Parts: sequence; structure tokens; C-alpha cells
Amino acid sequence: MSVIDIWPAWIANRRLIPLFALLAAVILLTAGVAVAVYDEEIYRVEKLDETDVQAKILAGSVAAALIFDDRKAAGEYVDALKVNPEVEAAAVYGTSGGVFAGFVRPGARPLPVRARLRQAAYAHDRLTVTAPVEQNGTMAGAVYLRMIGEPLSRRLARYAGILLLGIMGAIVLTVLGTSQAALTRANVALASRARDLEEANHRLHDEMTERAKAEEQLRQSQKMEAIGQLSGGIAHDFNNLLMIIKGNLQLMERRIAQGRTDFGRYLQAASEGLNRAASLTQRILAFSRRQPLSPKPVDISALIVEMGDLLRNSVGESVAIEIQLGAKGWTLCDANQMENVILNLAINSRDAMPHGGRLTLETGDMAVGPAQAAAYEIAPGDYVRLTVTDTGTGMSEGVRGKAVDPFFTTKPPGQGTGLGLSMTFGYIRQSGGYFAIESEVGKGTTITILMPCTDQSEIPEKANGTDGRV
Amino acid sequence: MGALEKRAGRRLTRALAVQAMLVAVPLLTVPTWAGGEPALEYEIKATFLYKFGPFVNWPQGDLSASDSPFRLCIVGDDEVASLSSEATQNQQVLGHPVKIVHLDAVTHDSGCDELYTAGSPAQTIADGLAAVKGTPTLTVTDSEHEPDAHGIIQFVIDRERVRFDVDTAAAAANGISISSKLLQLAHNVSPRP
Repeated sequence: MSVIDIWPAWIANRRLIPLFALLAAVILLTAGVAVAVYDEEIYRVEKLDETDVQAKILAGSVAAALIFDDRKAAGEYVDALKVNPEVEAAAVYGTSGGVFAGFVRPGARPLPVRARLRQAAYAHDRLTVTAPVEQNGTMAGAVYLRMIGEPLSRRLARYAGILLLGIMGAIVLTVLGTSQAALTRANVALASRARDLEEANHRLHDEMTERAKAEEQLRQSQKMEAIGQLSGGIAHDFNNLLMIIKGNLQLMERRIAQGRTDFGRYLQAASEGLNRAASLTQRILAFSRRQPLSPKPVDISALIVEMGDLLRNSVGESVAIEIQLGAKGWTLCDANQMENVILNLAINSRDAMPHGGRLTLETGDMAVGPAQAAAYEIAPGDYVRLTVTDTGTGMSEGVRGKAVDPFFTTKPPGQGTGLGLSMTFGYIRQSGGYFAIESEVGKGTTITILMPCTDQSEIPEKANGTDGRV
Repeated sequence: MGALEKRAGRRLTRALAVQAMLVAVPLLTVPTWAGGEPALEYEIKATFLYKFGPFVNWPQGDLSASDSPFRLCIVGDDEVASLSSEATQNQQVLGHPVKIVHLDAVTHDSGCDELYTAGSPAQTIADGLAAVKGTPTLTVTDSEHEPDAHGIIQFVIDRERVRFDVDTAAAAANGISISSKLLQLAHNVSPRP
């Protein structure tokens, strides 16, 4: 912290600066007054000398006139002094003591009746000087001179300049000192705050570093946990499929050993198991490799019809499937991915209904107005609606909030990857669609998906067939 | 400031002194007197005799001894001569007591510091003045007596006032000089400076 250093280095304690300034101001003022007083004294002494000389000159020049009793000549000598306005009264006295010649200004004190030689003296702002009149040792009389001292107002005016300068200097010094002190205080406060800020910044930086480290560790552990869950789930699912295949093959083997030929059911079951295993593998690949989407116009209703067997097999016999397909619009999406989405939702519903229930898949057309579009964070326009409703256990509000988070699952370890809804949500949003979950614990869950309708022109001609897929 | 004023003051003082002289010299109204009474006129003249003393510069050595008197010689017997003793009683000139010396005739060796001559049967005024010529003597005459014979100082009457003329050449001839202060009061100074 650098302060403009106008003070000597020995003034170590800057708090004393105003004191020093005040001291300097007082010294300056005192010096000013002293100079004025000294000047005044000098002035008085000089005035006295000057008047004395004037009296002596008058005494010298008036000697002959006095000795030879020439009042007229003496009067002329004395009257010559009237030119000087400072001379209030002047007179020549003869040896007898009476006034020989003289004058007094109007309004002034009258001349003394008798001459009395005495020391020059100031009295009542008047300087009185006397001088003997003598000629070669012959006393002839005396001269009396009374001067008006310079009026106090004029003397003060004379010293006012000095005093004013002194006061101004004092004020400047005081203000300078005070402002310097204030500046110093402000600087100290600023320095302290800057230090605090610096420390806070350091702390923040440290905390940020630690936080980043902790986050990195958390991410790492989450990753490891996710990998563990994923691999556990895959292993479990895969194992189940293998068990299905193995069981069916064993049953088939037994039938073959018995020479029976009615093992087609087992063969089909084993084959289905293999398909599911292949599908699982495909999905993992899709997830891990982030396979690019290949969107094409798709009729979701037709897709659901096609998936009928797969859905029934996936949810099992305890769950009744109800399908209401009202959608006429087509949507632009990756058919495989959409199939995965529907399958995922169906399996989730099945898992939510361990004791059976009803799974309803419903499609329809829907026009989204601007207000609704803004609320849904999608573009206004025509959409194809798909709702998947179950009568399962439902979700709590907390679970519902986290349902689409990656790797979040309520299923026991090995049964779910926590990726299903997450991937679904990601895919729908990526396709410009809307995804919502409504759920109530004990009553069931409804998943609503809106997919934008594609232009009629992009729908292939033959798409009106039952096949529907391109 | 003080010094400046002092200088200004001194200038003023000098100016005043010069002005005073300029005003005074041309007027030179001499003074005094007295009015129509002849007795008063002579008394004044008798008083003037010793009053001239302080305005005269005698040569060094003269009047050196402090106890030696100031010799005021009187020749003649007019009113001034008769009043001189009374007028100069207890008076001093340059610190010396005035001593009146009445003489019938003055000589070169009379030792007079000042001579007032009204002329006597033994010596005319002109002769008296001639007798002391060259000696340090202040000679005083009265215009009433011999208008052509005048001393260094000669009494005159101007507008009924006692005044005097001064002859500085005569003073110089006697080896003395007259103070300018006295010259300022003189009725007439010859030769004109």
C-alpha cells in the first residue's frame, strides 16, 4: 500500500499527521503574529526617531526667529509642518515658557501652556516629542511636536495580509493533514479488505479444488457402481435367458430320448430365448456404442400391432394387455429404438405388477397449441400420443422425480440397469417429443409420450398396408 | 514596510525643511518690535547686541578660555550705549559672561569680540570700524548715525520694526562668519550671496 509521501519518514505514526499539521499551523500563526508584533515595534521606534529628527530640524531652523523674537518667521517654520497630516500639533516655546508660535489641528487636545522638555513618549495613540532650541550653547526655548499615530485600522490592514497568509497556510496545512490522515485510514481499510478478499479467494479456490476432486471421486464411484449394476443386471438377465434356453433344450433332449416328436414348443421357447439374448446384446451395443439414429416415418399403431406377441411374452400371463389404437398420424423416428421404448415401458409395467394387473397401450392424434407447447418445451403442431398405463404399485413422488435419472432403479440388484427410462427419456427429447410420468402409489402409473407428426408426403405409398414398417 | 515608511518619512522631513527655508527666506520679515515708543526701540537694539553672539563664528583660539569674558565694546554715548549694560546683565555668549567695555576710541588692540559704535568725539564711526578692521570683531552700527559708515551688522527700521542689515564681506574681512540662520532674519544682506 503506497501512500503519496509528503511527510518526512520520521513521522512513523501516520495517525499523528493531523496533530503535526495542527502544530505546524499553530507555529505558522504564531510566527505571523510575532512578525506583526515585531514589525509594529520597529515601526514605532522608527516613527519615534523620525519625529525626533523632525523636532530637532524645527528647533534648529527656528532658533534665530525665537532669539530675535520674530513670531512671524517662527510661525512660518511651524506652519510648514501642517503639510504633514500626521502632525497633530506643533509649537515653539520661548525661554519664558509660553507658546511663541504653534498650531493645533481642529478637535485635537490644546497645546500645553508651558514647555517641558521630556522623553519622547506614546500616549493615547499619540507620539509627543520635545526638543530644546539652542544656538551655540545659548538656550532659546523648546519645540513641541505631537504626531497622530497610524490609526489601528490601518495598522491592522497592514498586518492583515501577513495574518491572512498565515491563516491560509494554517488552513491548507490542516486540511492537507486531515485529508492525508483520512486517506491513510481509507488505504489501511482498503488494504485490510483486499487481504480479506484475497484470503476468501484462496479459500474459495481451495474449496473448489477439493470439490472438483470430490466430484471426480463421486463420478468415479458412481461410474464403478453403474458398471457393477449394469454388468450384474446383464449377467442376471443373460443367465435367466440361458436358463430358459438350457431348460427347453433339456426338455427337448428328454423328449427326443423318449422318441417323441412334440418338442416344437420347447424349440420355439429356446429360440425365443436366443432372440431375447440377441436383443439384449443389441441394446447393450446400442447403449455403449451410441449407435446413430436412423429416423424414418413410422406408424406407431402398426408397430404396436407387430409387437403384440413380443409384448405378451414379455409381460407374462398374469398381466392382461389392452390395446386401443386411434392414431392416424405417422411420426419420424428410429423404429428399432421406438420398439425398444415400448418394450421397456411394458417390462417396467410388468415389474410394477408382480401380482398381475392390466397393461393398456393407447395411441391417438393430438394438436398442441402454443401455450401447451411452451409448457411442454416442444414446438406447437400435430403430435402422435402414446400412453402406457398399468394398474401396478405406482411410484412415490420422490421416485417419480428421479425415475428418468440414469442408473436409477427401484428393482433389486441384477434385475434392472436403471437405464431403461433414462434412455427412453433421452431418445424422446432428442426426437423433439414430450415424455411425462403420472403415478399414484397403489393405483398405477401412466406414461405419456408425444411424438411429432411427420409430413404426409414423406409417408411411403405402400405404408397403408398392415405391415406399416419401412 | 517600516523601513520604507521611514525612508518616506525622511524624504518628507527633508522636503519640509527645504520648503520651510524657501518659504521663510524671501519673506524675511524681521521682527520684532515694538511700536512707536523710541525707548523700546533702543532696548531692543541693546538686547540684540548680545543676541548676535551665538550666530557668529569666531576663529579658533578666540574665546578659548572658558573663564575669559565676551568683550562687548561700546563707543559713543547714544541710547543704545546707555542701555547696553542693563540689557546684557547676567547674559552669556557662547558660554562666556558678557562684559561691557565703554571706550572713547577703539584701537586695533582693544581685544573686542564685538564693537558697537555710535561715534564719539574722539573717534568717528568710520574710524572706529577702520581701527578694528582685520581683527575678529563683530561690528555693529546704527543707521541713525552715519548712513555711509556701517559695520558688519547695521540696525535699520523697517515698517516700524527693528531690523538689521548684514555685510558678509565685512565679516569676512574681519575673519568671522555669520550663521545663515541670522542671514535669514536679516533685512538686507550684502553682498547678495
